[in-house]
Amino acid sequence: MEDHVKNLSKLIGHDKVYVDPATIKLYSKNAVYYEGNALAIVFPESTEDVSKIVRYAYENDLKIYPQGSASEIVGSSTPKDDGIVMSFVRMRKIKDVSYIDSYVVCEPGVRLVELNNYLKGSGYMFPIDPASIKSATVGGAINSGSGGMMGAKYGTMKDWVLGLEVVLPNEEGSVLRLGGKTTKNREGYDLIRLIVGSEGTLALVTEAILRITLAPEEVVTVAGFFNDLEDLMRCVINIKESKLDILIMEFVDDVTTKITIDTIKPRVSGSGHLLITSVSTVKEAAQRVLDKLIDIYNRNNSSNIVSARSMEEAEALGIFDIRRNLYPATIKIASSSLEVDEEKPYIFVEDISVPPSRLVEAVKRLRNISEKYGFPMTLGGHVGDGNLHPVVWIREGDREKMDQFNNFVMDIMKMAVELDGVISSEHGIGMVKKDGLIMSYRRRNSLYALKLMREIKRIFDPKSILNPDKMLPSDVY
Amino acid sequence: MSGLAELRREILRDVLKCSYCAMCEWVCPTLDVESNNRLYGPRGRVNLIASYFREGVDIGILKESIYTCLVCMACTRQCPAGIDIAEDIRKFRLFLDGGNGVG
Repeated sequence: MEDHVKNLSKLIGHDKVYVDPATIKLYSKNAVYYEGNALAIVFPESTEDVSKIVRYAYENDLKIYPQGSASEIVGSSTPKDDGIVMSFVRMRKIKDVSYIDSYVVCEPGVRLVELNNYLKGSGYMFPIDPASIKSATVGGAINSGSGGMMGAKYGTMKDWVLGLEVVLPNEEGSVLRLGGKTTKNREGYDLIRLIVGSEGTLALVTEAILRITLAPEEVVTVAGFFNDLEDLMRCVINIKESKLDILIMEFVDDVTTKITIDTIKPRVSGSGHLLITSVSTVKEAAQRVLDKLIDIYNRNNSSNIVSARSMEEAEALGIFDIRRNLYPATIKIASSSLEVDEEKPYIFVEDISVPPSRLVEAVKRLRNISEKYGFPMTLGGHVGDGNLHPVVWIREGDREKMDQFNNFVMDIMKMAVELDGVISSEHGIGMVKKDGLIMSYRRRNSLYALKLMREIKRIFDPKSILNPDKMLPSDVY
Repeated sequence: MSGLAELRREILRDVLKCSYCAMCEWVCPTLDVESNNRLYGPRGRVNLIASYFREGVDIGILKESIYTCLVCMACTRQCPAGIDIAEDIRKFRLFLDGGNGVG
Protein backbone atom coordinates (compact mmCIF):
# COMPACT_ATOMS: atom_id res chain seq x y z
CA MET A 1 0.00 0.00 0.00
CA GLU A 2 2.82 2.38 0.92
CA ASP A 3 4.31 1.74 -2.49
CA HIS A 4 1.06 2.66 -4.22
CA VAL A 5 0.87 5.91 -2.30
CA LYS A 6 4.49 6.74 -2.99
CA ASN A 7 4.13 5.92 -6.67
CA LEU A 8 0.88 7.84 -7.09
CA SER A 9 2.39 10.84 -5.31
CA LYS A 10 5.34 10.71 -7.67
CA LEU A 11 3.00 10.49 -10.66
CA ILE A 12 0.62 13.36 -9.92
CA GLY A 13 2.17 15.23 -6.98
CA HIS A 14 2.09 14.52 -3.23
CA ASP A 15 -0.41 17.32 -2.57
CA LYS A 16 -3.01 15.37 -4.55
CA VAL A 17 -2.77 12.12 -2.58
CA TYR A 18 -4.13 11.78 0.98
CA VAL A 19 -3.73 8.80 3.27
CA ASP A 20 -4.53 10.11 6.74
CA PRO A 21 -7.33 8.10 8.39
CA ALA A 22 -9.53 11.15 8.96
CA THR A 23 -9.59 12.09 5.27
CA ILE A 24 -10.10 8.48 4.24
CA LYS A 25 -13.05 8.16 6.61
CA LEU A 26 -14.68 11.34 5.29
CA TYR A 27 -14.38 10.11 1.68
CA SER A 28 -15.65 6.63 2.46
CA LYS A 29 -19.21 7.57 3.40
CA ASN A 30 -22.32 8.53 1.47
CA ALA A 31 -25.57 10.24 2.40
CA VAL A 32 -27.25 7.18 3.93
CA TYR A 33 -25.08 5.02 6.08
CA TYR A 34 -22.76 3.11 3.80
CA GLU A 35 -19.23 3.33 5.02
CA GLY A 36 -16.34 1.73 3.26
CA ASN A 37 -12.62 2.13 3.43
CA ALA A 38 -9.91 3.06 0.94
CA LEU A 39 -6.16 2.91 0.53
CA ALA A 40 -5.93 6.58 -0.37
CA ILE A 41 -7.91 9.53 -1.65
CA VAL A 42 -6.62 11.14 -4.84
CA PHE A 43 -7.58 14.59 -6.10
CA PRO A 44 -6.75 14.87 -9.82
CA GLU A 45 -6.66 18.41 -11.19
CA SER A 46 -6.66 17.60 -14.91
CA THR A 47 -7.57 14.98 -17.49
CA GLU A 48 -3.89 14.14 -17.67
CA ASP A 49 -3.82 13.43 -13.93
CA VAL A 50 -6.85 11.15 -14.30
CA SER A 51 -5.28 9.28 -17.20
CA LYS A 52 -2.00 8.80 -15.30
CA ILE A 53 -3.83 7.42 -12.26
CA VAL A 54 -5.85 5.05 -14.46
CA ARG A 55 -2.73 3.74 -16.20
CA TYR A 56 -1.14 3.06 -12.83
CA ALA A 57 -4.28 1.44 -11.42
CA TYR A 58 -4.67 -0.77 -14.47
CA GLU A 59 -1.11 -1.97 -14.29
CA ASN A 60 -1.31 -2.66 -10.57
CA ASP A 61 -4.87 -4.01 -10.30
CA LEU A 62 -5.87 -1.14 -8.07
CA LYS A 63 -9.60 -0.35 -7.97
CA ILE A 64 -10.80 3.21 -8.56
CA TYR A 65 -13.92 4.56 -6.84
CA PRO A 66 -14.91 7.84 -8.52
CA GLN A 67 -16.68 10.42 -6.41
CA GLY A 68 -18.36 13.81 -6.71
CA SER A 69 -19.89 15.12 -3.50
CA ALA A 70 -20.92 11.65 -2.23
CA SER A 71 -24.44 12.92 -1.61
CA GLU A 72 -25.88 9.89 -3.38
CA ILE A 73 -28.02 7.48 -1.37
CA VAL A 74 -27.61 4.08 -3.01
CA GLY A 75 -23.96 3.31 -2.33
CA SER A 76 -22.65 4.13 -5.80
CA SER A 77 -19.82 6.35 -4.51
CA THR A 78 -18.50 4.43 -1.51
CA PRO A 79 -15.15 2.63 -1.78
CA LYS A 80 -13.72 -0.63 -0.52
CA ASP A 81 -10.25 -1.18 0.86
CA ASP A 82 -8.99 -2.67 -2.40
CA GLY A 83 -8.68 0.71 -4.07
CA ILE A 84 -8.56 4.48 -4.06
CA VAL A 85 -11.24 7.15 -4.10
CA MET A 86 -10.86 9.51 -7.03
CA SER A 87 -12.46 12.77 -5.95
CA PHE A 88 -13.23 15.28 -8.69
CA VAL A 89 -13.75 18.26 -6.40
CA ARG A 90 -10.65 20.05 -7.66
CA MET A 91 -11.76 19.88 -11.30
CA ARG A 92 -14.19 22.74 -10.99
CA LYS A 93 -13.70 25.04 -13.95
CA ILE A 94 -16.50 26.31 -16.15
CA LYS A 95 -14.51 26.53 -19.37
CA ASP A 96 -16.83 27.91 -21.99
CA VAL A 97 -20.39 29.05 -22.53
CA SER A 98 -22.33 29.91 -25.68
CA TYR A 99 -25.80 31.41 -25.49
CA ILE A 100 -26.13 31.33 -29.27
CA ASP A 101 -25.40 27.62 -29.41
CA SER A 102 -26.96 26.93 -25.98
CA TYR A 103 -24.20 24.99 -24.28
CA VAL A 104 -21.80 25.23 -21.39
CA VAL A 105 -18.53 23.32 -21.08
CA CYS A 106 -17.45 22.42 -17.58
CA GLU A 107 -15.41 20.07 -15.46
CA PRO A 108 -17.06 17.33 -13.40
CA GLY A 109 -16.52 18.90 -9.98
CA VAL A 110 -18.68 21.97 -10.69
CA ARG A 111 -21.74 21.94 -8.44
CA LEU A 112 -25.11 22.37 -10.15
CA VAL A 113 -25.86 25.37 -7.96
CA GLU A 114 -22.60 26.99 -9.10
CA LEU A 115 -23.49 26.31 -12.73
CA ASN A 116 -26.81 28.07 -12.35
CA ASN A 117 -25.25 30.93 -10.42
CA TYR A 118 -22.82 31.32 -13.32
CA LEU A 119 -25.70 31.45 -15.81
CA LYS A 120 -27.78 33.81 -13.70
CA GLY A 121 -28.48 37.07 -15.43
CA SER A 122 -28.06 35.59 -18.91
CA GLY A 123 -31.67 34.45 -19.10
CA TYR A 124 -30.45 30.85 -19.44
CA MET A 125 -30.40 28.02 -16.96
CA PHE A 126 -29.40 24.41 -16.55
CA PRO A 127 -32.74 22.81 -15.70
CA ILE A 128 -31.78 19.66 -13.79
CA ASP A 129 -32.61 20.52 -10.20
CA PRO A 130 -32.30 17.57 -7.80
CA ALA A 131 -33.07 18.23 -4.15
CA SER A 132 -29.31 18.02 -3.70
CA ILE A 133 -28.68 20.83 -6.21
CA LYS A 134 -26.43 22.66 -3.74
CA SER A 135 -24.13 19.69 -3.34
CA ALA A 136 -24.57 17.59 -6.50
CA THR A 137 -21.72 17.93 -8.97
CA VAL A 138 -21.93 17.77 -12.75
CA GLY A 139 -19.97 14.50 -12.78
CA GLY A 140 -22.10 12.99 -10.05
CA ALA A 141 -25.34 14.10 -11.69
CA ILE A 142 -24.22 12.63 -15.04
CA ASN A 143 -23.28 9.31 -13.47
CA SER A 144 -26.42 9.18 -11.34
CA GLY A 145 -28.71 10.23 -14.19
CA SER A 146 -30.20 12.85 -11.88
CA GLY A 147 -33.60 14.48 -12.21
CA GLY A 148 -35.48 16.93 -10.06
CA MET A 149 -38.59 19.02 -9.50
CA MET A 150 -38.66 20.30 -13.07
CA GLY A 151 -38.44 16.77 -14.47
CA ALA A 152 -42.03 16.97 -15.70
CA LYS A 153 -40.89 19.50 -18.31
CA TYR A 154 -37.17 18.96 -18.69
CA GLY A 155 -36.65 15.23 -18.10
CA THR A 156 -33.41 14.06 -16.50
CA MET A 157 -29.68 14.39 -17.04
CA LYS A 158 -29.74 12.07 -20.06
CA ASP A 159 -31.59 14.78 -22.00
CA TRP A 160 -29.01 17.51 -21.32
CA VAL A 161 -25.58 16.07 -22.07
CA LEU A 162 -24.33 16.97 -25.56
CA GLY A 163 -20.77 15.84 -25.21
CA LEU A 164 -18.37 14.13 -22.84
CA GLU A 165 -14.66 13.80 -22.43
CA VAL A 166 -13.94 10.55 -20.63
CA VAL A 167 -10.96 8.52 -19.54
CA LEU A 168 -11.36 4.80 -20.12
CA PRO A 169 -10.16 2.29 -17.50
CA ASN A 170 -7.75 0.56 -19.87
CA GLU A 171 -4.00 0.08 -20.18
CA GLU A 172 -3.47 3.45 -21.86
CA GLY A 173 -5.95 5.44 -19.78
CA SER A 174 -7.36 6.49 -23.17
CA VAL A 175 -9.05 9.85 -23.45
CA LEU A 176 -12.18 9.86 -25.63
CA ARG A 177 -14.21 12.84 -26.76
CA LEU A 178 -17.81 11.87 -27.45
CA GLY A 179 -20.57 14.02 -28.94
CA GLY A 180 -20.03 17.72 -29.37
CA LYS A 181 -21.66 21.12 -29.28
CA THR A 182 -24.72 20.36 -31.37
CA THR A 183 -28.14 19.18 -30.24
CA LYS A 184 -28.45 16.78 -33.14
CA ASN A 185 -25.90 14.02 -33.34
CA ARG A 186 -26.21 10.64 -35.08
CA GLU A 187 -22.62 9.48 -35.07
CA GLY A 188 -23.06 5.77 -34.41
CA TYR A 189 -24.18 4.25 -31.13
CA ASP A 190 -25.08 6.77 -28.47
CA LEU A 191 -22.21 6.20 -26.05
CA ILE A 192 -23.04 9.37 -24.16
CA ARG A 193 -26.44 8.05 -23.09
CA LEU A 194 -24.73 4.83 -22.08
CA ILE A 195 -22.38 6.65 -19.75
CA VAL A 196 -25.09 8.90 -18.31
CA GLY A 197 -26.50 6.94 -15.37
CA SER A 198 -23.71 4.34 -15.43
CA GLU A 199 -22.82 5.13 -11.80
CA GLY A 200 -19.11 5.43 -12.44
CA THR A 201 -18.80 1.88 -13.72
CA LEU A 202 -17.82 2.54 -17.35
CA ALA A 203 -15.62 5.61 -17.68
CA LEU A 204 -14.33 8.62 -15.77
CA VAL A 205 -15.98 11.85 -16.90
CA THR A 206 -13.41 14.64 -17.08
CA GLU A 207 -15.37 17.25 -19.02
CA ALA A 208 -18.99 17.72 -20.06
CA ILE A 209 -20.72 19.80 -22.71
CA LEU A 210 -24.17 20.47 -21.30
CA ARG A 211 -27.18 21.91 -23.05
CA ILE A 212 -28.66 25.00 -21.45
CA THR A 213 -32.08 26.49 -22.04
CA LEU A 214 -33.86 29.78 -21.67
CA ALA A 215 -35.42 30.20 -18.25
CA PRO A 216 -39.21 30.65 -18.48
CA GLU A 217 -40.20 34.30 -18.83
CA GLU A 218 -42.84 33.91 -16.15
CA VAL A 219 -43.91 31.10 -13.86
CA VAL A 220 -47.31 30.99 -12.15
CA THR A 221 -47.88 28.66 -9.22
CA VAL A 222 -50.91 27.30 -7.37
CA ALA A 223 -50.93 25.17 -4.23
CA GLY A 224 -54.03 23.57 -2.75
CA PHE A 225 -55.11 20.81 -0.37
CA PHE A 226 -57.36 17.83 -1.17
CA ASN A 227 -59.19 15.56 1.27
CA ASP A 228 -59.64 12.93 -1.38
CA LEU A 229 -56.66 11.55 -3.30
CA GLU A 230 -58.94 10.83 -6.27
CA ASP A 231 -59.84 14.54 -6.43
CA LEU A 232 -56.15 15.44 -6.46
CA MET A 233 -55.44 13.01 -9.26
CA ARG A 234 -58.39 14.27 -11.28
CA CYS A 235 -56.96 17.76 -10.80
CA VAL A 236 -53.60 16.53 -12.13
CA ILE A 237 -55.31 14.96 -15.15
CA ASN A 238 -57.38 18.09 -15.81
CA ILE A 239 -54.27 20.26 -15.68
CA LYS A 240 -52.53 17.93 -18.13
CA GLU A 241 -55.60 17.97 -20.41
CA SER A 242 -55.72 21.76 -20.36
CA LYS A 243 -52.46 21.87 -22.35
CA LEU A 244 -50.73 24.10 -19.84
CA ASP A 245 -46.93 24.05 -19.97
CA ILE A 246 -46.31 22.26 -16.66
CA LEU A 247 -42.96 23.11 -15.11
CA ILE A 248 -43.36 21.67 -11.62
CA MET A 249 -46.03 19.35 -10.23
CA GLU A 250 -45.32 18.24 -6.68
CA PHE A 251 -47.31 16.11 -4.28
CA VAL A 252 -47.17 15.59 -0.52
CA ASP A 253 -49.59 13.12 1.08
CA ASP A 254 -51.96 14.10 3.91
CA VAL A 255 -50.04 12.39 6.73
CA THR A 256 -46.78 14.01 5.65
CA THR A 257 -48.43 17.39 5.15
CA LYS A 258 -49.66 17.32 8.74
CA ILE A 259 -46.31 16.18 10.11
CA THR A 260 -44.49 18.89 8.14
CA ILE A 261 -46.92 21.61 9.19
CA ASP A 262 -46.65 20.54 12.85
CA THR A 263 -42.86 20.31 12.74
CA ILE A 264 -41.76 23.17 10.51
CA LYS A 265 -44.62 25.68 10.77
CA PRO A 266 -44.59 26.64 7.08
CA ARG A 267 -46.20 29.80 5.84
CA VAL A 268 -48.79 27.89 3.78
CA SER A 269 -51.14 25.71 5.78
CA GLY A 270 -54.13 23.40 5.33
CA SER A 271 -55.17 19.82 5.73
CA GLY A 272 -55.24 16.93 3.28
CA HIS A 273 -52.99 15.98 0.39
CA LEU A 274 -51.03 18.88 -1.08
CA LEU A 275 -50.60 19.54 -4.80
CA ILE A 276 -48.31 22.31 -6.03
CA THR A 277 -48.31 23.17 -9.73
CA SER A 278 -46.09 25.67 -11.50
CA VAL A 279 -46.76 26.54 -15.12
CA SER A 280 -44.38 28.18 -17.51
CA THR A 281 -45.82 31.16 -19.40
CA VAL A 282 -45.16 34.71 -20.62
CA LYS A 283 -45.85 37.91 -18.71
CA GLU A 284 -48.84 38.91 -20.82
CA ALA A 285 -50.60 35.58 -20.31
CA ALA A 286 -49.70 35.06 -16.64
CA GLN A 287 -53.01 36.15 -15.10
CA ARG A 288 -55.10 34.20 -17.62
CA VAL A 289 -53.07 31.02 -17.06
CA LEU A 290 -53.21 31.50 -13.31
CA ASP A 291 -57.02 31.91 -13.37
CA LYS A 292 -57.34 28.77 -15.44
CA LEU A 293 -55.18 26.82 -12.99
CA ILE A 294 -57.09 28.07 -9.94
CA ASP A 295 -60.35 27.15 -11.65
CA ILE A 296 -59.17 23.56 -12.16
CA TYR A 297 -58.15 23.32 -8.50
CA ASN A 298 -61.56 24.68 -7.42
CA ARG A 299 -63.48 22.30 -9.68
CA ASN A 300 -61.72 19.40 -7.99
CA ASN A 301 -62.69 20.40 -4.44
CA SER A 302 -59.36 21.83 -3.39
CA SER A 303 -59.20 23.94 -0.24
CA ASN A 304 -56.85 26.60 1.14
CA ILE A 305 -55.67 27.50 -2.35
CA VAL A 306 -52.68 29.84 -2.53
CA SER A 307 -51.52 31.31 -5.83
CA ALA A 308 -48.64 33.38 -7.15
CA ARG A 309 -48.19 35.26 -10.43
CA SER A 310 -44.43 34.93 -10.41
CA MET A 311 -41.72 32.77 -8.88
CA GLU A 312 -40.68 35.70 -6.69
CA GLU A 313 -44.21 35.95 -5.32
CA ALA A 314 -44.36 32.17 -4.81
CA GLU A 315 -41.15 32.33 -2.78
CA ALA A 316 -42.42 35.30 -0.79
CA LEU A 317 -45.63 33.43 0.04
CA GLY A 318 -43.76 30.24 0.96
CA ILE A 319 -45.73 28.10 -1.49
CA PHE A 320 -42.98 25.48 -1.68
CA ASP A 321 -42.30 25.42 2.09
CA ILE A 322 -44.07 22.13 2.81
CA ARG A 323 -42.58 20.26 -0.14
CA ARG A 324 -39.08 21.57 0.45
CA ASN A 325 -39.24 20.87 4.17
CA LEU A 326 -40.37 17.30 3.76
CA TYR A 327 -36.84 16.02 4.33
CA PRO A 328 -35.94 18.37 7.21
CA ALA A 329 -39.25 17.49 8.88
CA THR A 330 -38.46 13.80 8.48
CA ILE A 331 -35.03 14.30 10.05
CA LYS A 332 -36.61 16.09 12.99
CA ILE A 333 -39.16 13.34 13.54
CA ALA A 334 -36.55 10.65 13.10
CA SER A 335 -34.22 12.35 15.60
CA SER A 336 -36.97 12.83 18.13
CA SER A 337 -37.96 9.16 17.83
CA LEU A 338 -34.58 7.99 19.10
CA GLU A 339 -34.63 6.23 22.44
CA VAL A 340 -31.01 6.88 23.31
CA ASP A 341 -29.24 10.22 23.02
CA GLU A 342 -26.17 8.99 21.21
CA GLU A 343 -27.93 7.14 18.43
CA LYS A 344 -28.08 8.23 14.86
CA PRO A 345 -31.20 8.06 12.72
CA TYR A 346 -30.81 6.51 9.27
CA ILE A 347 -33.13 8.03 6.72
CA PHE A 348 -33.98 6.17 3.54
CA VAL A 349 -35.52 7.89 0.52
CA GLU A 350 -37.11 5.53 -1.99
CA ASP A 351 -37.29 6.41 -5.66
CA ILE A 352 -39.88 4.51 -7.68
CA SER A 353 -41.84 5.81 -10.66
CA VAL A 354 -45.19 4.70 -11.99
CA PRO A 355 -47.10 6.09 -14.97
CA PRO A 356 -48.84 9.18 -13.51
CA SER A 357 -52.27 7.69 -14.26
CA ARG A 358 -51.52 4.92 -11.71
CA LEU A 359 -50.45 7.19 -8.87
CA VAL A 360 -53.59 6.76 -6.76
CA GLU A 361 -53.13 3.01 -6.73
CA ALA A 362 -49.42 3.39 -6.01
CA VAL A 363 -50.03 5.67 -3.02
CA LYS A 364 -52.65 3.33 -1.57
CA ARG A 365 -50.40 0.32 -1.96
CA LEU A 366 -47.42 2.16 -0.50
CA ARG A 367 -49.46 2.90 2.60
CA ASN A 368 -50.43 -0.75 2.92
CA ILE A 369 -46.79 -1.80 2.65
CA SER A 370 -45.77 0.77 5.26
CA GLU A 371 -48.49 -0.54 7.58
CA LYS A 372 -47.53 -4.17 6.96
CA TYR A 373 -43.96 -3.55 8.13
CA GLY A 374 -44.80 -1.01 10.79
CA PHE A 375 -42.53 1.61 9.25
CA PRO A 376 -43.76 5.17 9.75
CA MET A 377 -43.45 6.83 6.35
CA THR A 378 -43.52 10.28 4.85
CA LEU A 379 -44.47 10.54 1.21
CA GLY A 380 -43.95 13.12 -1.46
CA GLY A 381 -42.94 13.14 -5.05
CA HIS A 382 -42.87 14.55 -8.50
CA VAL A 383 -46.43 13.77 -9.48
CA GLY A 384 -46.00 15.26 -12.95
CA ASP A 385 -43.77 12.38 -13.98
CA GLY A 386 -45.01 9.74 -11.52
CA ASN A 387 -41.85 9.69 -9.40
CA LEU A 388 -42.62 8.98 -5.72
CA HIS A 389 -40.24 9.35 -2.79
CA PRO A 390 -41.49 7.42 0.23
CA VAL A 391 -39.17 8.12 3.17
CA VAL A 392 -38.67 5.91 6.23
CA TRP A 393 -36.29 6.08 9.16
CA ILE A 394 -34.63 3.51 11.35
CA ARG A 395 -32.42 4.05 14.38
CA GLU A 396 -28.91 2.79 13.72
CA GLY A 397 -28.92 0.12 16.42
CA ASP A 398 -32.17 -1.51 15.34
CA ARG A 399 -30.90 -4.65 13.57
CA GLU A 400 -34.35 -6.19 13.36
CA LYS A 401 -35.79 -3.21 11.50
CA MET A 402 -32.74 -3.02 9.25
CA ASP A 403 -33.30 -6.63 8.22
CA GLN A 404 -36.98 -5.99 7.57
CA PHE A 405 -36.06 -2.90 5.60
CA ASN A 406 -34.71 -4.92 2.65
CA ASN A 407 -38.02 -6.79 2.34
CA PHE A 408 -39.89 -3.52 2.69
CA VAL A 409 -37.94 -2.01 -0.22
CA MET A 410 -38.42 -5.15 -2.32
CA ASP A 411 -42.19 -4.96 -1.77
CA ILE A 412 -42.17 -1.33 -2.89
CA MET A 413 -40.13 -2.15 -5.99
CA LYS A 414 -42.41 -5.07 -6.87
CA MET A 415 -45.43 -2.84 -6.55
CA ALA A 416 -43.86 -0.26 -8.89
CA VAL A 417 -43.07 -2.90 -11.51
CA GLU A 418 -46.58 -4.37 -11.23
CA LEU A 419 -47.96 -0.93 -12.04
CA ASP A 420 -45.73 -0.69 -15.15
CA GLY A 421 -43.27 1.51 -13.33
CA VAL A 422 -39.56 1.35 -12.51
CA ILE A 423 -37.57 0.61 -9.35
CA SER A 424 -35.33 3.65 -9.62
CA SER A 425 -36.04 6.98 -11.28
CA GLU A 426 -33.19 9.33 -10.45
CA HIS A 427 -31.16 7.88 -7.55
CA GLY A 428 -29.76 4.79 -9.22
CA ILE A 429 -29.06 1.17 -8.26
CA GLY A 430 -25.71 1.30 -6.45
CA MET A 431 -25.38 -1.50 -3.97
CA VAL A 432 -28.93 -1.46 -2.65
CA LYS A 433 -31.15 -2.25 -5.61
CA LYS A 434 -29.34 -5.01 -7.48
CA ASP A 435 -31.98 -7.53 -6.38
CA GLY A 436 -34.65 -5.15 -7.58
CA LEU A 437 -32.94 -4.92 -10.94
CA ILE A 438 -33.05 -8.70 -11.31
CA MET A 439 -36.70 -8.79 -10.23
CA SER A 440 -37.66 -6.06 -12.69
CA TYR A 441 -35.96 -7.65 -15.71
CA ARG A 442 -37.10 -11.14 -14.75
CA ARG A 443 -40.70 -9.96 -14.63
CA ARG A 444 -40.32 -8.73 -18.20
CA ASN A 445 -38.65 -11.99 -19.17
CA SER A 446 -35.60 -9.95 -20.16
CA LEU A 447 -32.81 -11.06 -17.87
CA TYR A 448 -30.58 -11.19 -20.92
CA ALA A 449 -30.48 -7.38 -20.75
CA LEU A 450 -28.38 -7.72 -17.60
CA LYS A 451 -25.99 -10.00 -19.44
CA LEU A 452 -25.66 -7.38 -22.15
CA MET A 453 -24.90 -4.77 -19.51
CA ARG A 454 -22.25 -7.03 -17.99
CA GLU A 455 -20.66 -7.43 -21.42
CA ILE A 456 -20.71 -3.69 -21.99
CA LYS A 457 -19.00 -3.23 -18.63
CA ARG A 458 -16.35 -5.81 -19.63
CA ILE A 459 -15.60 -4.02 -22.91
CA PHE A 460 -15.21 -0.64 -21.22
CA ASP A 461 -13.43 -1.99 -18.16
CA PRO A 462 -11.71 -5.30 -18.98
CA LYS A 463 -10.04 -5.69 -15.58
CA SER A 464 -13.02 -4.39 -13.64
CA ILE A 465 -11.03 -1.73 -11.86
CA LEU A 466 -13.67 1.00 -12.08
CA ASN A 467 -16.27 1.09 -9.28
CA PRO A 468 -16.52 -2.71 -9.21
CA ASP A 469 -19.56 -4.49 -7.79
CA LYS A 470 -21.79 -1.46 -8.24
CA MET A 471 -25.08 -1.39 -10.11
CA LEU A 472 -24.78 -4.74 -11.91
CA PRO A 473 -25.65 -8.04 -10.24
CA SER A 474 -22.84 -10.52 -10.81
CA ASP A 475 -24.32 -13.89 -11.77
CA VAL A 476 -27.99 -14.33 -12.52
CA TYR A 477 -28.17 -14.88 -16.22
CA MET B 1 -24.22 15.56 34.95
CA SER B 2 -20.99 17.58 34.91
CA GLY B 3 -20.64 20.63 32.70
CA LEU B 4 -18.32 18.83 30.31
CA ALA B 5 -20.51 15.74 30.07
CA GLU B 6 -23.52 17.90 29.42
CA LEU B 7 -21.62 19.83 26.76
CA ARG B 8 -20.56 16.56 25.13
CA ARG B 9 -24.17 15.33 25.14
CA GLU B 10 -25.48 18.56 23.60
CA ILE B 11 -22.89 18.60 20.82
CA LEU B 12 -23.13 14.92 19.98
CA ARG B 13 -26.92 14.92 19.89
CA ASP B 14 -26.83 17.72 17.33
CA VAL B 15 -23.99 16.51 15.09
CA LEU B 16 -25.45 12.99 14.83
CA LYS B 17 -28.32 14.48 12.84
CA CYS B 18 -25.95 14.94 9.89
CA SER B 19 -27.11 12.88 6.92
CA TYR B 20 -23.98 13.69 4.87
CA CYS B 21 -25.99 15.54 2.21
CA ALA B 22 -23.21 18.13 1.74
CA MET B 23 -25.56 21.06 1.23
CA CYS B 24 -23.50 23.04 3.74
CA GLU B 25 -20.25 22.86 1.78
CA TRP B 26 -20.81 25.20 -1.15
CA VAL B 27 -20.95 28.29 1.08
CA CYS B 28 -17.93 27.40 3.23
CA PRO B 29 -15.08 29.90 2.81
CA THR B 30 -12.39 27.59 4.17
CA LEU B 31 -13.09 24.50 2.07
CA ASP B 32 -11.79 26.05 -1.15
CA VAL B 33 -8.77 27.60 0.48
CA GLU B 34 -7.72 24.41 2.24
CA SER B 35 -7.22 22.15 -0.76
CA ASN B 36 -10.90 21.23 -1.11
CA ASN B 37 -10.46 18.44 1.38
CA ARG B 38 -13.71 17.69 3.25
CA LEU B 39 -11.69 17.97 6.47
CA TYR B 40 -11.86 21.73 6.11
CA GLY B 41 -15.58 22.08 5.47
CA PRO B 42 -18.63 21.90 7.72
CA ARG B 43 -19.64 18.34 6.81
CA GLY B 44 -16.17 17.11 7.63
CA ARG B 45 -15.99 19.06 10.87
CA VAL B 46 -19.36 17.87 12.11
CA ASN B 47 -18.53 14.24 11.33
CA LEU B 48 -15.05 14.47 12.84
CA ILE B 49 -16.61 15.72 16.05
CA ALA B 50 -18.98 12.73 16.04
CA SER B 51 -16.06 10.39 15.37
CA TYR B 52 -14.02 11.97 18.17
CA PHE B 53 -16.75 11.23 20.69
CA ARG B 54 -17.69 7.80 19.40
CA GLU B 55 -14.54 6.09 18.20
CA GLY B 56 -11.69 8.57 18.45
CA VAL B 57 -9.73 10.45 15.77
CA ASP B 58 -6.25 11.88 15.43
CA ILE B 59 -6.36 14.91 17.70
CA GLY B 60 -3.86 16.87 15.60
CA ILE B 61 -5.94 16.63 12.45
CA LEU B 62 -9.12 17.23 14.41
CA LYS B 63 -7.75 20.46 15.84
CA GLU B 64 -6.53 21.62 12.44
CA SER B 65 -10.00 21.05 11.08
CA ILE B 66 -11.88 22.65 13.97
CA TYR B 67 -9.64 25.67 14.43
CA THR B 68 -9.58 26.62 10.73
CA CYS B 69 -13.35 27.23 10.89
CA LEU B 70 -14.18 30.93 10.77
CA VAL B 71 -17.50 30.37 12.59
CA CYS B 72 -19.10 32.59 9.95
CA MET B 73 -22.36 30.60 10.26
CA ALA B 74 -22.91 30.42 6.50
CA CYS B 75 -23.21 26.62 6.72
CA THR B 76 -25.70 26.71 9.58
CA ARG B 77 -28.24 28.43 7.35
CA GLN B 78 -27.90 25.72 4.71
CA CYS B 79 -28.35 22.61 6.85
CA PRO B 80 -31.65 20.85 6.09
CA ALA B 81 -31.33 18.85 9.31
CA GLY B 82 -31.22 22.07 11.31
CA ILE B 83 -27.82 21.32 12.83
CA ASP B 84 -26.40 24.46 14.46
CA ILE B 85 -23.00 23.75 12.92
CA ALA B 86 -21.22 26.96 13.90
CA GLU B 87 -22.53 26.76 17.46
CA ASP B 88 -21.47 23.11 17.73
CA ILE B 89 -17.97 24.06 16.61
CA ARG B 90 -17.84 26.88 19.12
CA LYS B 91 -19.00 24.54 21.87
CA PHE B 92 -16.56 21.86 20.78
CA ARG B 93 -13.67 24.29 21.01
CA LEU B 94 -14.84 25.01 24.52
CA PHE B 95 -14.95 21.28 25.20
CA LEU B 96 -11.41 20.80 23.91
CA ASP B 97 -10.37 23.67 26.11
CA GLY B 98 -11.46 21.61 29.10
CA GLY B 99 -14.76 23.34 29.39
CA ASN B 100 -13.39 26.56 30.85
CA GLY B 101 -16.37 28.62 31.78
CA VAL B 102 -18.70 25.64 31.72
CA GLY B 103 -20.42 24.20 34.78
